[in-house]
Amino acid sequence: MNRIEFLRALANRNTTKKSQPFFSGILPYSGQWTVNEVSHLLKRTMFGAKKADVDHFLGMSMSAAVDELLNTVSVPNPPLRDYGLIVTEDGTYDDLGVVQGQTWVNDPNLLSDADARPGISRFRMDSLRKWWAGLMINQQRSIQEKMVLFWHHHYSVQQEEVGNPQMMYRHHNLLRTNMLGNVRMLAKEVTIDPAMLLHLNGYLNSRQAADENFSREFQELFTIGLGNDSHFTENDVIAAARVLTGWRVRTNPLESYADEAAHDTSSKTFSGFYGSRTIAGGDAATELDALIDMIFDTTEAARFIVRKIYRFFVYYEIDEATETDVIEPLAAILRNNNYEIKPMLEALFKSEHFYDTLNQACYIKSPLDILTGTLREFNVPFPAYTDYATGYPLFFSIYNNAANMQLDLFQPPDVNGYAAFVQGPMHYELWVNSNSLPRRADYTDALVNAEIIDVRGFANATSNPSNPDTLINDVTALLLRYPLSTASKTYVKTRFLLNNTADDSFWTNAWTSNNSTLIDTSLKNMFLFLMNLPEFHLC
Amino acid sequence: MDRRRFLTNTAQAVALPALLHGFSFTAMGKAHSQLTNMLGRTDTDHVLVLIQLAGGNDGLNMVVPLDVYSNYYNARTNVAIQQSKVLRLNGTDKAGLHPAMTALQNLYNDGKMNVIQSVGYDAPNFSHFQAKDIWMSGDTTAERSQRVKTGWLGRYLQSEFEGYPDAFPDPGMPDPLAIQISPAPTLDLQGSVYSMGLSITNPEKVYSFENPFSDYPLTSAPANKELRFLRVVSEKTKIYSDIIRDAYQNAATMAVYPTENGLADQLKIVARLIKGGLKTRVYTVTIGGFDTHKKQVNASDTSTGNHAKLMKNLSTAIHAFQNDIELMQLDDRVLGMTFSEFGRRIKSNASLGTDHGAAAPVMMFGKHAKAGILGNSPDIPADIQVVNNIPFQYDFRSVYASVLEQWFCVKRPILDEILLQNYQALPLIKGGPCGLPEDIDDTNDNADKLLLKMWPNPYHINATLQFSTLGGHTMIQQLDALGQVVKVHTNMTYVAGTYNIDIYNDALPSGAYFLRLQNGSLQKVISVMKVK
Repeated sequence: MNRIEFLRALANRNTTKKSQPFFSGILPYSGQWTVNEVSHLLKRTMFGAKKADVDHFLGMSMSAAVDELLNTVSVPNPPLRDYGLIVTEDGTYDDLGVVQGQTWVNDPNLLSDADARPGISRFRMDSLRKWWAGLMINQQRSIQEKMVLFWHHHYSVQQEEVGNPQMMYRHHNLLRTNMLGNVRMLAKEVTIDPAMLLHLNGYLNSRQAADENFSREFQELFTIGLGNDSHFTENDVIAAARVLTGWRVRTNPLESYADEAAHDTSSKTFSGFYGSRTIAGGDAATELDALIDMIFDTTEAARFIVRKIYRFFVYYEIDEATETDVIEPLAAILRNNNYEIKPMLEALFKSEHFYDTLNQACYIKSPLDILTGTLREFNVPFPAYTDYATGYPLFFSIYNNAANMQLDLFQPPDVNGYAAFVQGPMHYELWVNSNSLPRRADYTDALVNAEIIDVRGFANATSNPSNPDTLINDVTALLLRYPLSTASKTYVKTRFLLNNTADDSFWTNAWTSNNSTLIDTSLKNMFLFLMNLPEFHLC
Repeated sequence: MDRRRFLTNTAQAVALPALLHGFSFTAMGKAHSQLTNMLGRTDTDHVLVLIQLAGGNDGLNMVVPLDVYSNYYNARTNVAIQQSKVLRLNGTDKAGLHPAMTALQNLYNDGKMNVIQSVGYDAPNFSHFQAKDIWMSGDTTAERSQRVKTGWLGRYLQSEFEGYPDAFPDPGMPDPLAIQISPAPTLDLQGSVYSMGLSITNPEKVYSFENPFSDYPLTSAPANKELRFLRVVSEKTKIYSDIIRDAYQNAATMAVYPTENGLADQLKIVARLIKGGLKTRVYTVTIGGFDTHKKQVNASDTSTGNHAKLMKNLSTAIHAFQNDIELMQLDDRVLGMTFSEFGRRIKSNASLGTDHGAAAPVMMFGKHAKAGILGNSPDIPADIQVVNNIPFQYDFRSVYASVLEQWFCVKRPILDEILLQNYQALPLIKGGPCGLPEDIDDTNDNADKLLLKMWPNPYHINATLQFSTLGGHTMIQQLDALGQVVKVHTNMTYVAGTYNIDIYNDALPSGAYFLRLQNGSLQKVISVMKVK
């Protein structure tokens, strides 16, 4: 190949691999139901697969397992004031709006000294982050925490833009309340949610000067997308911006409202993509309903959200067969159920396609899969999410580490959410690079070296820890979705359990004679090694 | 669990002593002849530092058009910079800089900086992500799925260093090809499979890694693709993080950089790495916050506010970096360039801000940046409408082509392949480092000599278009108010002379348009009006 040919190949526009087509569609999966399939389901829909959870779901059918994950929903108590006094250059202040141990979410932060309020806001924002990390690490057997993360990624409101923790909580709670509900209703509610109005300038959008920011992102990033069949126009952006004029926010009590004087009451005409529809001038709320109807009447709206769900839970490459055999029928289910999301999710997680071997072990763990998932899989005990005194500092450490690995809760990098869930061609691969990989390794190394992980306890819970082969089989089955070959397992066994001999009894004797020094050192080194393997980053 | 232990051990990324030594180097991919590859490389020690202004920089307030000031002011009264506050540049009355950019004013007046006016493309995209993709890929294809998935610098580096990363480092390129001071790779450095760049935030990071396994027990293509990716990135990270750390610790900062300036912090690392001996060709850094839909300026004084802070940080960071590079005696090797995904709308909004726009200036700096302002101030209509955008004078790929050809000495036709087609060369680099003609004729003066007019103007359905050409490739495009090309009147080779084109039964909707004449490295843009 000469250089010119090489460059032409490089510039090839059709880089979507025509790799092996997925023959599987959304017919219900009827294959075997073993540790492999259960782990696949759990690592995708929860943070990590604990042995106890795997055992729990092995005892029921695949269908019952998915039902339990989709129907177990709890309503958590709101975040609490965990912080003490607020120290500024001018003095030390208390938060007079709420006492420690009580929730701050309903207090508008107006009672304390004005000098103290910015500090109070920062503490409250941190409290919100700790609380969410606490809910994740204490998650039930349910998809709910991953779904909340999905919607957070989807609507992608940044706390720095909003600058108001009460609004951020309210926004988060809106996502949490509707996470398994109606996609269309959530889109409408988010549009006039105070945090979103601040985040994308809706609150500044007026008939005198339309602000297109929200209108553009609403169509491009939240509802229609930029798939091949999306053809909304610049004029549609301008027209929708005019429909959305007039929404305003007040902080006490915290709510949004329509200022009809700022609302553009002329009629708005849309392109052929929206059926050349005209939204007649009316009050802001009526026009909003008409806009939501118009957008969700397109066939592209359902496909768009299904593709986004697919990329979040299954794999990022969507080839033509997947589009036809998976995305399109799931979008039809979503439309036929009037945009209720649960029937669509149920069909996806019960499908042949989801359990297809081609869709296993190809997902690069997000920072929260690495952090929360690993802590959960090793059964590291944590206080309840409501324990602000001892729990919150630990939850904050999880939040901070995730933020350092590019997943900063409540502060996604831009309005498109977290790049690894949406941005081609690399997608999940963006989580892993020369900057983040060393951080991931440092974290798992620290868990082992500082004995936060109980390696002995983990080994003890396997089926026959005195047998080195069984031990390695069980451990790798739980930790690694990408399997090690027999030769690789032998390498691990020889190097870490047999002291570089070929004698299995070396380990068996150590275990049965309870040689703690030898056992602990061997296991620690083995776990350090396993969690540094590239395979560990896949799930 | 032990709470204190958890917090102290996971609160920061603690570098632990290496437990295991060495690593396996797994050569993957096709057979690779190091010799052939090295023979194909260009011998250059040049470095490009690319500064991304993320969010869409308001070019009109950065480079303020003084020759059309009243239309500028009229279009954006609430955010316009007062004429008297605009920083003057030696040798020109056409435009000046934002008042917060005194450091770059000095750099310009010292002859170490240029401004390229109205850089954009024929169908401006107003989405951050699409526009960023377009700038980084160098492909303006509207449908994202049809656009190339590689970056313009990624293609350049991959064409120079075929086989990266598998067989690298090699004796000819012992260092990373490109370094991004960022937590994650971006599209501009993307090659066909891997990023050609290395992302770092801490140049002194220690990474211990080994991977003795190279087999792929699963038959699943997606899983194997991702595992292979993880293995390569792990191995290269180990190798290159050691190289970067050594280089960084080999050099010391020589200039004083501004504090609390994220861009300055990044450029400081870049200077040290170059001084430390890396042969790395490209560095990318980012400064964010340019999406100034609201509160771009303070109502009380439009020369202050959020955009002014950005302009100051940009200006002082670049100035300190250039100073550092000079003190390190590296100024013959280093060229810097800024870009942003788009400029902002000519007309401001009621939130003391500006919405997404089209073309905007690009700045270049360094000893070899050909000083001056290339091109004219943008055409700003007197009766400004919300939809009015700045049409492009220079295609951004012409800027890329000029940098690759005049700075990295990439030859045609390889250059045309990297940029997917051929683009006009612009006079941007001085000192002829690639043996190209030292000075292309003063482009601006010659552009003024080019003739382009149309009558009647305003026109109804028939008109005559007259233009002159110095000979060679000549193109005339008609752009609408959004800056989109709606018609190409001619696109062919001419003998030098003056020509007429008659327009009959023009079917375009009525409204404001621009005509853009391009002849070699010259261009001229005029505005025309179609009436009912």
